[in-house]
This record gives sequence, structure tokens and C-alpha cells, in this order.
Amino acid sequence: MLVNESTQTVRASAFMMEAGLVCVIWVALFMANDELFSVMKINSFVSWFFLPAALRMIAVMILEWSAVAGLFVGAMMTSRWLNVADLLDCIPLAIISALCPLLAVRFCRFWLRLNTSLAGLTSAQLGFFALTGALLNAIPSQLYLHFVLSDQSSLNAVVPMIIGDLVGTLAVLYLASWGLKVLSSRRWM
Amino acid sequence: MSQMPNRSLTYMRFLNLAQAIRDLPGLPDIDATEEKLLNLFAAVWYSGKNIGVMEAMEMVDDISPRTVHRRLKTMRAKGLIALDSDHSGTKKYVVPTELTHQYFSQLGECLAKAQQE
Repeated sequence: MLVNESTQTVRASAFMMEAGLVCVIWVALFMANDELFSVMKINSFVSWFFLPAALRMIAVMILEWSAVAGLFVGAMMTSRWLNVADLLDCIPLAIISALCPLLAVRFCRFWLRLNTSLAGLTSAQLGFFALTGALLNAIPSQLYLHFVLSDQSSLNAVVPMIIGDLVGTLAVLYLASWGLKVLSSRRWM
Repeated sequence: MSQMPNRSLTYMRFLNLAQAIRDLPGLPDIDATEEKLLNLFAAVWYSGKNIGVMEAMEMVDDISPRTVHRRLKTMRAKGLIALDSDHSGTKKYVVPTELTHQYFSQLGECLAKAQQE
């Protein structure tokens, strides 16, 4: 009994830490994107270049549900809500931002016949993950904005959002790839 | 104990993802020997001189000429160097490629950023 409780406590702590880390990185990337690429913004939800999209995919691929929790909290923190009504409007968007990456990852794993450890994942398949993640984030969120929040311009923002998420994800992946190659050539790893 | 499989799975996912990211097309992997050779060649290229293949094989004291020759082949396959012949076609020279210039300019950018910080 004591061993089970201890294991559950450790699991819960690990979950919270992972979610907290994802949340912090999300907020940092969101602020950096706002600062560095403000000229690429179309509106408060959409940008032609969106770095945090990479975190959605990478974090969920590795951590799954703890990443979903961290992404939800992070999305709530970076949503621009000034009152309770705005807050209630932001919750579904935060859910979409957090849950849809998990759906994308599960779909891609199923479609590409990868097991849960991602064994055999290739760099070409990463592109498929990035595209699916972009599609499954942009379409639901813009549909919500259009049909529920009556934002008439949101359907026009679907394509820019897909491009912004895809380009942001690929930029981070290529930067990480270059970093890993440089580090390994110096035998630091 | 039942937590171990979850942690192992997370770590396996991380490793497999890191490997896939590392394999993204772009700059080829350069090992320490190839990097050393490139740096030596760069010093000669930027002084305006040519490097013959035989000279290249003798350039590094602590690497055997056979090893250097093998590395020259792999570097050529990766697009990091090319071989040019002289007018008579008898002598071959090791020359940089566009990828070599790209590699050094990216390293230069890193150094510049590091200095700014």
C-alpha cells in the first residue's frame, strides 16, 4: 500500500514537472516569437511564422499527456483575456492547442505504423508529423473562431496559420538538427 | 518499479526523435578527423595556394596518409571537397565546394554570436 502510494506520488510529481517545463518553454517561445517576428503577425492568433508550434509536436511526441497539460496551461497563459467572458472563450482554444497535437501524433503513428517508442522514425516522417500537426491545429481553431465566436475573418486565416505552424516547426527542427550535428562532431555527446 | 517502463518509453521516444531530427537533410555529419582536415585545407585555400592530393595526404602528422585518403573520399562523397585536375590532367587538387563555404560561414556566424554574448 505504502509502495503504491509512493509510486503514485512520484508519478504525479514527474507529471507536474514535465507539464510545468512544457508550459514554461511554451510561454518563452511565444514571447520570443512575438518579439522577433511581430512583423509576420496577421492577428493575435495567427502568424506567418510561429515557433511554439514546434513545441506542440515535439513535446507531445515525447511526453504525451503531461505535454498536453503543459500546453493547455501555457496556451491559457498566453491567451489575451481581460475578463471572464474572454477567459471562457479562450478555454476551448487552449484545449484545441493542447489536445490536437496529441491527436496528430496518434494519427501519424497509426498511419506510419510506428510503435509508441517511435522506433524507426525517419526525418522524412517528421515532415508528415509537422504538416499533420499544423493542419489539426489551424483548421479546428479557425473553425471555432468562425462558427462559435463569429469571427468573420478567421476562415481566411486557416492557410496562413497552417504555413506559420509548419514553417515554425521546420525551422526549429532544422536548428535542432544542425545543433546536434555540430555537438556530435565535437564529441560532446 | 511500475514507473520504470513509462520513463524508459519517454527516453526511447526522445532518443528516436533526436535521431530523426539529426538525420534531417542539410549539412552532412562531419567527424573530428574530417573537421581537422577541413580546417587545415581552409588555411591553405585562404592563402591562395592549391593543395595537391598527395600533399593533402602528408599534411597531418598524426593521421596516416591512407586514413587521410579514405577521408578525402568520404568528404568528396559528402560534397565537402571536390577534385580539380591541372591542365595536363596528371595532378589532382583538393578544392572547396559551395557546401564547404556554407559550413565555414555557419561556424563564423556561431563565433560572431558567441563573441556578442
